[in-house]
Amino acid sequence: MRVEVPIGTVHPALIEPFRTRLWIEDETVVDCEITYNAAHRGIERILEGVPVLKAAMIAEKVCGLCSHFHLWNSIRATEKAMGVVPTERAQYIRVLVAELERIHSHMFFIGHACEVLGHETFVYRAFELREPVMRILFELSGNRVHYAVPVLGGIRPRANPSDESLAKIRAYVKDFEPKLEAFIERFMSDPLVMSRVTGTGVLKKADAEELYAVGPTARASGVNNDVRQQMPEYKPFDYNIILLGAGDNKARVALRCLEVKESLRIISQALDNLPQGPVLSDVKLNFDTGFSEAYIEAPRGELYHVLRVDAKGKVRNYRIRTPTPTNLASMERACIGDHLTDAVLTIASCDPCLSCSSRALVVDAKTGKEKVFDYASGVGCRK
Amino acid sequence: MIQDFVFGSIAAIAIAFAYATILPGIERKIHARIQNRYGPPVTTPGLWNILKFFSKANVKSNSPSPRLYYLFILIGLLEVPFIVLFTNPLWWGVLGFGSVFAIMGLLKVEEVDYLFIGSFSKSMMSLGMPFPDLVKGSKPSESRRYFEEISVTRALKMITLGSFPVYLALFVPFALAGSVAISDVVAMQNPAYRETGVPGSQDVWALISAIRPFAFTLPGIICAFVYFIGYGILSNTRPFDIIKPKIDVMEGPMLEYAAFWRGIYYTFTGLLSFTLSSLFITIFIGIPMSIGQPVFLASHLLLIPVIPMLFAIVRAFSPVFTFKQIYPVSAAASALAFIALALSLVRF
Repeated sequence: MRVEVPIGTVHPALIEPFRTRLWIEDETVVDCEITYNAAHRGIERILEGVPVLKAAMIAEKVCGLCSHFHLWNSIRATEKAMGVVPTERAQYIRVLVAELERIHSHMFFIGHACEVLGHETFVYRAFELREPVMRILFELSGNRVHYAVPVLGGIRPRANPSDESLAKIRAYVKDFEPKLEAFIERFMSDPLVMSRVTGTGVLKKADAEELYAVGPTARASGVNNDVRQQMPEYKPFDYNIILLGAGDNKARVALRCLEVKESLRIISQALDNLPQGPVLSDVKLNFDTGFSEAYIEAPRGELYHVLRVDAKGKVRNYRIRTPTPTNLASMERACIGDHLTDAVLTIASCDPCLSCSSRALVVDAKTGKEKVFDYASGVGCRK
Repeated sequence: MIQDFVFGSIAAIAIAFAYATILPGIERKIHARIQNRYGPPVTTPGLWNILKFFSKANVKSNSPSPRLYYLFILIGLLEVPFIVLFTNPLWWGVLGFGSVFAIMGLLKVEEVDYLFIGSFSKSMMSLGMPFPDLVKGSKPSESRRYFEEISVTRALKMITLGSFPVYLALFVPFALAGSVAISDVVAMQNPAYRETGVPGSQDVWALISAIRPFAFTLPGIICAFVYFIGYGILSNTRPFDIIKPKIDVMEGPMLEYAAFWRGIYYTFTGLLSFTLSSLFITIFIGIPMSIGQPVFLASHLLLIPVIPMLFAIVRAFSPVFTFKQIYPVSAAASALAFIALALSLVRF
C-alpha cells in the first residue's frame, strides 16, 4: 500500500526547516516532494533600497557556511555594474578565502552526511579536520563565520595577510593534506559505511542534465558543471574539475573529498604566486546602472546574484538564486527506489541549504496571481 | 530458607539496578574517548539523567490510550529483572523458571513490547499539516503513516528475522548440556559450583581455574560471536537500531515517552544492557550471579561490563544498518549458529 511519510518541517534530522513528503510502499520510496520556504527571512526585501556598499554586507548574511561566496558574488555583480576592477592581489586573496571556505563547507557536509548515516565517529573526525580551517579564516579575517573580506575594488585591508599569516596557512596546508588523505582512506575503505552509501541515491547523468543539477551533485553524476571554469579569477590557477560517474551517495561524498584536495592545490598556488601591491583599487562609483548578473561556484554549486544600482546609489531588484532550489528536483528524483532511511541520506548528500534558498514569493493576495519579475525589461520591478 | 530466597532476590535486583546506572555512562565514555572527547561523567547518562527526567513535568502522550501506552514500558521494565532472577541459582528450582524456555520467552516479550508501544503511539511529529496543501504543484495527500507505525513494521521484521540467530546461539550450550535447565549448563562448565557448599571458604584461584567456559570451545566462540551481534539486536543499539534511527523515525515507538516515562525507558535500556550481559556470563562462561557465593558473584560482576564495552566500540564505528545490511548479517549469523549447533551435537 502506498502511504505518505511527512518528514519536517520540524524534525531532528533536518538542520533546517523544510518539509519532505515521501511516499513509500513497504519501506521503498516511490515518490518524493520537498517543500521549502518555511523560514522566509526576507533578505531580498531588506536589500531593496539600501546603499550599495551596505547591500553587500547584508548579502553576506544569507548563509553562514558560504558567506564569502555570497559577499564576493555580490561585490562581483556590483563591480561589473559600476565597471570597477579589483587589484590583482585582492583577486588572489578572494580566491584564497573562497577555497578555504570550500574546504570548511565540504568538511561540514561530510560531517553532516556521516551524522545522517549514524556514524558519530566520522562526524567528529570530519569536524576535527575542519576546525583548523576555521582558525585560519579567523586569523585572516578576524571572524570564524562572516569574514567580510571582499569590498568594492578589492579586499578589506585588515584581511591583507601578513607574512606570519601566510606562513600559518602554508603550515596548515602541509599539515592538513596527510590528515585528509588518511581520513579519505579510512572512510572509503570502511565496509559498513560503504554498504550504506554505495548504490543508494543514484542520480543518473541524463537525469542530472534534465533536472539542471548543479555543483557537486551534478559533477558526481558526471556532468561537467563548474562555474570556476568561466571565472576570470580562477584563470591563473591549475586545478582539476573532479567528475565522477556513479551518481550515488558514495560518489557525492567522495567527490567532495577529492575537491578538497583540489582546493588545497589552489591555495598552495595562491600562496606561492601571491602578487605584491595594493589590495584596494581606486574606486569611482557609477550609479544608475542596468541589471548586473554574477555567477560563482559556491561549495554547493552555481550561485547567482543580480542587482541594479539606481541614481542615488541604492540597490534595486536584488535577487539571489542559491544552488539548492536548482538541485531540489534532483534530490526528489535520486531518492526514489531507496529504503526510507537511505532516502533521507540521499537528500542530505545533495547538501541542501534551504534557509539560504528561502526567497520572496510575490503573490497578490486579492487576485491570487503571482508576480513575475522580468529583469531585462524591468516589468514587475519596483522603480 | 525463605528469608534467604527473598533477600537474595531483592539483592540481585538491587545489584542489577545499581549496575545499570553506570553501564550507559561507561559506553558513552568509550564513545567519547574514541572520538577524542572527554564525554560525560560515568554516572550522568544512567543515573543523573534519569533523575532529571523524573523531576520534569510530563507531556501527555498523543496516544489514543495513553495509560496503556505508558503501561507497556512499565511491563518492559518489570519483566527484564525476571531474566536476572531466573538465571540466579536461587530461582533455578522454582517451577522450572531456570530454563532456556523461560529466558527465551521473556526476551521475546521484551521484543514484542516494542510492537505494542509503537502501535499505541501517534506522535505529533509524524503528522502532516492539518489543512490542504495549497502550494502550487503540491501532490495530493493520501493515507499517512505515523513514524511509530513504520517502527512497528521494522520491529516485526527484527523479531522474525533479525533476532533469530540470537536464540539459536542461546540454545547451543543447552543442546551441548543435553538439558533445558540453566543449572545443568552451569554445571557443565563450572563443576566446582555444585560440589562446593560455600565456595568463599575455599581457595579462590582453585575455584576460578576449575571453570571450563563454553565460550572457550570452538562452537562456543562461534555462539559467543553470534550472541554478541544479538546483544546489539536485542538492545536496539547501533548498528541495529533500525526501529529508532534519528534520521527518519527518530525515537520510533518511544517517541512520546517524556519526563518520568522517558526516565523509565532509560532505566529499562540500562537494565536490559546489564541483563543481556549477565545472561551471557551465566550461560556461556558458567558463572552465575550467585548472591551467597562471593567469588562467583564478584567474578560475574567484574565481567558484566565486557560486552557493553566491546559493543560500545562497535557502535562508535558503525552507521545505522538498514534491512539491506541487517538481512545478510542475520543470515550469516544464523548460518554460524547452525554450524555451532552441529559442532556441539557431534561433541567437537
